[in-house]
Amino acid sequence: MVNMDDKVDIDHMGALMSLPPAPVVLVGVGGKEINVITVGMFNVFSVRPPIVGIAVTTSRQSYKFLEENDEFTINIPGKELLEQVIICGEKSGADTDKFELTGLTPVKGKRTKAPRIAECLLNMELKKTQSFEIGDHTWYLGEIKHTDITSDYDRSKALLYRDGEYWTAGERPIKKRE
Amino acid sequence: MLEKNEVNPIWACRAFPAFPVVLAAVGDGNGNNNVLTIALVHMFSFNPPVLGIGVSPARHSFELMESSDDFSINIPGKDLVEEVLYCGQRSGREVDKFEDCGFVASPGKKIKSPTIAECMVNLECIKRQRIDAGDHIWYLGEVVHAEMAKDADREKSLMYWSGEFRVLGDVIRRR
Repeated sequence: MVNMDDKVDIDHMGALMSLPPAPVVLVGVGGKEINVITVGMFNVFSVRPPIVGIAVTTSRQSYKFLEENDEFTINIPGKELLEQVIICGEKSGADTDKFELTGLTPVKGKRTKAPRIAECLLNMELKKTQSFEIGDHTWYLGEIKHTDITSDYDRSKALLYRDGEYWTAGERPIKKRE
Repeated sequence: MLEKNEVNPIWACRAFPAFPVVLAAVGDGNGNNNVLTIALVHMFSFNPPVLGIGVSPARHSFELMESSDDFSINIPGKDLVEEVLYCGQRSGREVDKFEDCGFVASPGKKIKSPTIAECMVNLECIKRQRIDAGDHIWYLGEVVHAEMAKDADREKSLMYWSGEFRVLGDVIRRR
């Protein structure tokens, strides 16, 4: 299993380019009290400055944590974390300690107070820039402040999620832009 | 011409590929149209169905996007990879991308902007929100009408990320 010793830090542009398409991510939130949630709504909003966002439905416990804190982390799991990802999506932090339940290890951020997940392939620390509601989701956008990534990182191994299906990116691109 | 059915917009959003590259079309209803390749596109809400596209203010289509109340998002199959590349690399200032790509601009059913007949899925969007998020302006549009080719399949849609066009890989587990 991946841990923090396997990782190196990379610059913001490198971090953006390391994100897999359609990832399912583990979002670390909180300061004194911490929680981890599985989020399937993720998007890159801006390259310079590097701004990414996640969305949650308002009924979730971590909505409160995201409202109250101006920092959060986005952590990219590999496919070996599939069961943990499912648990963190189905259980509520209101009645469960998801770190204890899954064995995932919270690690203090280097530039933020929000917890990072040691077992994930990539850990991104963000400072909230804005949030807005649209339809059934609330979006939180954050600027990347720091990113750590495994030294043998390969984004085609990252866990992806779409419409009830977990998968990984195809082994080979069908075309590369010249 | 692809044979299409009208489908429920909520259901149509499920045809939206993960990390897609799409063709957005925008027009004023008077034949002043443009098409642009967009990789910054995402679903923002399921119900109501809202999709958003990120457009750099440097692009020719930016002005049309600013002044228009609507736009269409068109999902190309992998057979359109060369056209997608062309529409991303050329500016509507210099070329007519509809003509050069042989695209048919179909009149929108519920919007002024056209849709692209050759694409598998056509999603007609009415602007609901504009988000300034750094170097891109995001236009969030509610899908008010959607049509899909009878044999449309997410497996056939193009994926794009940092210079690589891909198709979907293996499903490793179903919920």
